[in-house]
Amino acid sequence: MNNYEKISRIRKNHFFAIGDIIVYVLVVVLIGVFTLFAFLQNEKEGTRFELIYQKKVVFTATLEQDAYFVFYIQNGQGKVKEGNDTSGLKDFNLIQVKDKKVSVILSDCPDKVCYTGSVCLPHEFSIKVYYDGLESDI
Amino acid sequence: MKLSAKRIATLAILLACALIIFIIESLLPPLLPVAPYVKIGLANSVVLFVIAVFGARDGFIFVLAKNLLGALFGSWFAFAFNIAGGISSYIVMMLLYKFVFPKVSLIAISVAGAVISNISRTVVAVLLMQANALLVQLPVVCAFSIAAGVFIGILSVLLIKYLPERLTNQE
Repeated sequence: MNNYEKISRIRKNHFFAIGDIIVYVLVVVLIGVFTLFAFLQNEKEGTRFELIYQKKVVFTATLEQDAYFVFYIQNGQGKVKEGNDTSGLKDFNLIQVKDKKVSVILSDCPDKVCYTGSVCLPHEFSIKVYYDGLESDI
Repeated sequence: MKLSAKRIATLAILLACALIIFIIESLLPPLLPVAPYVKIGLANSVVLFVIAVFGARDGFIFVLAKNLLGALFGSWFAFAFNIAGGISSYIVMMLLYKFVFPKVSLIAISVAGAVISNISRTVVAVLLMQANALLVQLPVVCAFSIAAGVFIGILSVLLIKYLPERLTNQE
C-alpha cells in the first residue's frame, strides 16, 4: 500500500481497525503496571526521614514517633517547627508522621502534588525516607 | 522524494500553523493540576498530518523545527519537556504509520503517540527535579493521554480529510 492509498483510506473516515485492539490493550496494561508500581511504592515504611529544601537537608527526624511538623519558607530560608499550627505562615507544608509513614497533609502551594508525591515543586521541597540505611523516596 | 519549492512552502505554512496552536495551548493553564508538565499536545495533530502526508524524513525535521522555534516563544525550561515528548511520540507514530498503518487506525497511532509523549515528559520531570515520587502520577497521566490521543487523532483525520487535495497529494 503506497502513501496515496493510505491517505485515501484515512479520507474514508476509518476510526477503527482490528490492530487498534492491540494498541489499546497495551496502553491499559501499561496503566495497570504503573498503578501497581505506584501502589507498591506508597507502601514503603521507614525509620527516619529528611526534609530537603533546594537540594539541602534542612531537617531530619525519626518515624518511630507520631508527630506533626511545619515546613515553611521565610526570607528564602527553609525552616521547620514542631506542631500543626500553620496560622500566619506563607509557603508552608504541614507534615504528618503516623504509623511510621510520613506525608504532607496541608499546603498552600498552587499544585497539590505534595499530597500524593511528597514533592512540592513550587517550594522546591521534598521528603526522603530512609530505611535500614537504604534510601528511598516515598 | 524531491524537495521541491512547493513542498518546502507547504511545510513552512504547516509549521507556522503548528507553532500558533502550540503557543495558544501553552497559554492555557495545565489541565492536570497535579502534573503541570502534561499536556494535550494539540500541535501533534499537525505533526501526525505531516508524517502521514510528507513521510518520515520531513516529519522528523518538522518536529525538530517546531520544538526549537517553540522554545524561542516559550521558555527553555519547557524545551526539555517538549523535545523529549516530541521526539519520542514522533518515533512511535512514524513507525506505526509506516509499517502497521492500515491494520491500526490513525486514532490508535495518535493515542500511542500521546501516551509515550506524556510518559517521557513525566520522566524528564523526574530527572530534572530528582523526584522519583512523581512516577506515582503515571497511571493518571496515561489515562489522560488516552483521551488526549483520541481527540488529536480525530483532529488529524479531519485535517487530512478536509485540507485541499493540493496539500495532501505530494507524490
